[in-house]
Amino acid sequence: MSCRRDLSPVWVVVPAFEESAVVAATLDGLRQHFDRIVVIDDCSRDETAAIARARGAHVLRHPVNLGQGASLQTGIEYVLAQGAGSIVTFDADGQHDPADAAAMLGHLALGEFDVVLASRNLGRTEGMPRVRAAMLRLAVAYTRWSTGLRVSDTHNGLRVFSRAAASKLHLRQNRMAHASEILDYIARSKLRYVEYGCTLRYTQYSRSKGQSSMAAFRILFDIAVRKFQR
Amino acid sequence: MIKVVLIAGFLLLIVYALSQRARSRALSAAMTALSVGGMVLVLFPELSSSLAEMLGVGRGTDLVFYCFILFVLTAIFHIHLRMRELSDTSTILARKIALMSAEVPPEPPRANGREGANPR
Repeated sequence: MSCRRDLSPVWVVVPAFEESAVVAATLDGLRQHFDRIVVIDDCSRDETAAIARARGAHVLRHPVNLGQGASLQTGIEYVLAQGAGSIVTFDADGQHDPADAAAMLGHLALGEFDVVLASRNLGRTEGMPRVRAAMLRLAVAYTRWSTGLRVSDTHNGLRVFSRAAASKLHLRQNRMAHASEILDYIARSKLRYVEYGCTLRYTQYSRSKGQSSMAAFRILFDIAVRKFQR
Repeated sequence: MIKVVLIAGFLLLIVYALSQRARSRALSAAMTALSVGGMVLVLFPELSSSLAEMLGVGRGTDLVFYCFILFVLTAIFHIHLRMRELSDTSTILARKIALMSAEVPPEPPRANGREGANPR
């Protein structure tokens, strides 16, 4: 009853801010599976853009630092204009496995879903600090309550969208609250979604680059303030 | 006399508020009302005391102080929302610039023909 959907061309959107230490490895990994990659350099002061360029990725540069949510939106608009048939979002810091992204595209190709979300809680997580695990459990509980979605991981940068699903996404949360915003959008638009158990690697690097657990409060504040605006 | 200075200040505020009517009617009205209220309190200082007593606040100065705090917090919140709007605008601008100056690699490298050959 499902007809396989044509997803090509597949575009990978990689938001990056000062990731010169790892972005080469991340892009090389992606290259094994994907041809079309766009890196959104969020006004890094390091060599991130140059490295991405040397690796053959399309490079977009924000003239000022805007945040990861804004980078994702910029990348999505770019690849839609390029005629993307499906879109993978992938963190630059190397915590995702490109093979997971390819497998998730396989799920999308079945034609039963509009969005495939990676979940560390269905898959394997390596080296996640315990405080982080507790904070994420709270985030999941909050999101389940506020959106009604039965998701098991709310803050995972690895996602796969169909073209139709991505084209109606208009992220206004420039910083980190976009993760909740995406789930809100999925809930409101009644998109068909499925979670895919992925491997997440918490390395020394990703831990130092990533958000502190206090960021959760800032995210909540961002979401609350948005409710006062149109 | 201090009263003259205060009244003059309030009058200037009213003139400014009225000149801003075109930009935001509500804001202009709120500013005018506050200034008129301020002038009344400057001219009849006993009024704040009797009003405070009616409301059970204690001294008139306290009542004025509480109102002032409320007013300042409202103003800060309003400015915060304005700032957000501005940042939305600059986001749109920055995004446009990024999209217009996209760097496309010379020739798209192919990953062993794993995907359809159709680039667009």
